[in-house]
Amino acid sequence: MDGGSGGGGFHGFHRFPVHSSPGMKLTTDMNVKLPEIAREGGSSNGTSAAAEDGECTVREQDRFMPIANVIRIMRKILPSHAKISDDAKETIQECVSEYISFITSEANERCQQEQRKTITAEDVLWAMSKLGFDDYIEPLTLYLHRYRDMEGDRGAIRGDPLLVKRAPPPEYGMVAAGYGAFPAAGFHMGHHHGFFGPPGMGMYYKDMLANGNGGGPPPAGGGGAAAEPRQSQSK
Amino acid sequence: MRQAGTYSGILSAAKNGPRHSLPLARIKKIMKKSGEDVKMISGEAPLVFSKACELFIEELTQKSWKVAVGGKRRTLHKEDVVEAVVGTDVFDFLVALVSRQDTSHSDSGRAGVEDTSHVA
Repeated sequence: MDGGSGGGGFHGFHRFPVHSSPGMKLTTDMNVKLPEIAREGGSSNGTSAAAEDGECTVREQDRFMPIANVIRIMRKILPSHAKISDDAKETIQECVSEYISFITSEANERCQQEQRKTITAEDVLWAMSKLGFDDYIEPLTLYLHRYRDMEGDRGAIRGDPLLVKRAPPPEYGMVAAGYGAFPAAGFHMGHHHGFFGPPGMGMYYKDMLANGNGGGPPPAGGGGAAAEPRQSQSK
Repeated sequence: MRQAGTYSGILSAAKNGPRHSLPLARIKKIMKKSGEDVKMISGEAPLVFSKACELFIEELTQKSWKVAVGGKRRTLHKEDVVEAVVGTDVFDFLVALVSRQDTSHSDSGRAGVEDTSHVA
């Protein structure tokens, strides 16, 4: 399981402790140096940070998620009075990259074993399930299906053959068989599980289930509207 | 071509605003960096990751916040994140990352010499 995927820090998603890292123990949130401010800006995180990372030949903006996005997600889950120190933000930002690499390595290994060249969404889900992130599978499967439904609709409108994407991939079956914890790609558990995900997700799920089983085209507006549970929270 | 089409398709399809908050192209770059042998990545894989990372950040933040609250603090510090990582089994893969970072940060803070931090 963990062989080859490298364990912690293997992928090197850590900042080198150069001048731009907050050397002092941060006591205030606003006490940041210039490069920090540049990164706070999110969209324009570049110039100074890139120089800092020159030694590892990869620019900072290629190695990490934009800090602004990370902070937005963090704030969403924290109470409004909570403060977040810069080193906590950076640590979580680095952990996200490590997480992506960790999962991807496992997914990639599976692809190689099966002599496939392309890492698919199913490989990613499989890897997450295998590495202990079972809780994510249901919401992620929903998310993926929602996307596929949407793509299917768009494909139908445009008349291009994207509809093929809506067919449930055969790998789901394999995954479910191999890993008992994997809830069979969420095809059949909507009736008795309303608990997962943010509120609204379950609602959408019923929508999707109805659409899927009924075989009819999903209602254009309804699904989309019900499927935006996080948006209302994010602002 | 294929990838760009997929991505722009995803983005333009969001009539009601952005549906995912993390950039797919960035996710893909990080995926490619995961190994020399990562060859091709389906357009849907970064999409799954965009949501997964959101869940991941939420979980890690929430666990870290519990540590902070336990310490009667209202500011989330790196130490809280480290403790949350250490105390959670599925986050074991992060332990080396956060503890190494911990070391180097404090060392560079004290002495300003990074390279010796590993020795010390």
